[in-house]
Amino acid sequence: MDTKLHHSDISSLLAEKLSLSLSNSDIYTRTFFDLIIEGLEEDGIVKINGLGTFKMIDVASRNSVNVNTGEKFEIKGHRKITFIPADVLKDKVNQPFAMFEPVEIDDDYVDDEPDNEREYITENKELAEKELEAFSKNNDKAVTIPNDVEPIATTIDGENENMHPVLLQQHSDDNAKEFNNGERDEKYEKKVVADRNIDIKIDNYSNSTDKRKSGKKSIYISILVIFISILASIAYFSDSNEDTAEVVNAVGKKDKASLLTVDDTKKKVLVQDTIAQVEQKKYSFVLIEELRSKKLSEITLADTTLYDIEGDLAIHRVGADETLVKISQIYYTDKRLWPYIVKHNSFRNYNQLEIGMNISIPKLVSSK
Amino acid sequence: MNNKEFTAKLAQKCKLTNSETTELVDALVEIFTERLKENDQINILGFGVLEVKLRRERVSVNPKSGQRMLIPPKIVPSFRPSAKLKDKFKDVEE
Repeated sequence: MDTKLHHSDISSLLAEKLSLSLSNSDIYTRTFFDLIIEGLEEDGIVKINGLGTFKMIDVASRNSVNVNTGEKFEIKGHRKITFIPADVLKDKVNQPFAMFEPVEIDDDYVDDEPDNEREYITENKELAEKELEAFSKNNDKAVTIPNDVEPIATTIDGENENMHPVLLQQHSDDNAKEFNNGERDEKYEKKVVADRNIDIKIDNYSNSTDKRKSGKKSIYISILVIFISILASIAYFSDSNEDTAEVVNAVGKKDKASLLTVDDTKKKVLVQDTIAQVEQKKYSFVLIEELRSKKLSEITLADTTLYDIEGDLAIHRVGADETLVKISQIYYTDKRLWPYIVKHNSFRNYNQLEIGMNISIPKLVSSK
Repeated sequence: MNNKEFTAKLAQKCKLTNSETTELVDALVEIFTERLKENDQINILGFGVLEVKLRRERVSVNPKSGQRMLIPPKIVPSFRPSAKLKDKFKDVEE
């Protein structure tokens, strides 16, 4: 390790390897190096398989400045010996770092949402949907719902951690009583219905302010408020469309009429969405044609530009011999933007593309 | 001078057959690579030094596309000619 080997060491190693006499191997190594110098003198280049190339190159004269005195002087042109190592030698020497490869630094792609979190949200969504179904089946047994919700809620909501353990226990025990209690239910129904159109955050906040006031009056009310806030937080995580339905549902509403209205609005939204989608599809074809007619140079992008995904630009059916790079070339006329497509479709594997697959192409808006 | 010419000349000088010389050259090259792998330095008087150098990782930018790349660290074999050899070829300059 890090030892200096001299001529004698090399010749002795050679003698050992080829079982030669020391004097012979000494002569051979000497002539080997002498011949390299000779070859350089004659041809200016010597190639040795497995080792590399020794080459003479001309260096042009250049001006320089003496750093100490500031004097200008000329470095005369001269010839210089260079060594270009053979690939075999390079690879063998570089073995400790062989597993590294150049990595593209992508300024555009920012993974702000870890995969775990994404899974978590979908899980919550499923649970919320189940909850909804259960509620619609038997409205009278609304009591079962809070018990289902609680384990999730404790993990999401910071508030519950701060809650006293005794309170928590009471909370779960008394849920049944609470939800059969008509008067209080109605109070909070009204509140929630009133807050329906306001942001959930505000809803959450108002509930917490209520909590301070009513906390002194009775523990039960305070527990109920906390429970509502938990549900509001769940609703916050899931789709905004489901929010209103969930909150109303969670409070233990027995009024079918209000629930129905919520369903109707939901349907309306859905219909509107589908119409919008169809229109967007038509529009996207026009868009592609437009983009194709543009020249590449007109749409060149600096690699420092960041883009925000803003809805779908089009839905693309993957054909044969198509790659993400090609698709991004078609839609953005820039093949470097394919990571956005991956991000938008949440592919696990970048090679997940299959023929006939429908992938949605995100609309990119440069963010500043 | 390519490898073939080199071995032919070496054979002539050492009074060996061509196959023996190729064996010799291969053995020498193998010794060099083995030693260089161990981070050793090979100092040959009147010729120069064969050694390995560590190149640190760096960020390079593709001037055409502006794509930035992180180039990993690597170990590179290098050759430093001796002062004697340098001077010898400096004189050759036209």
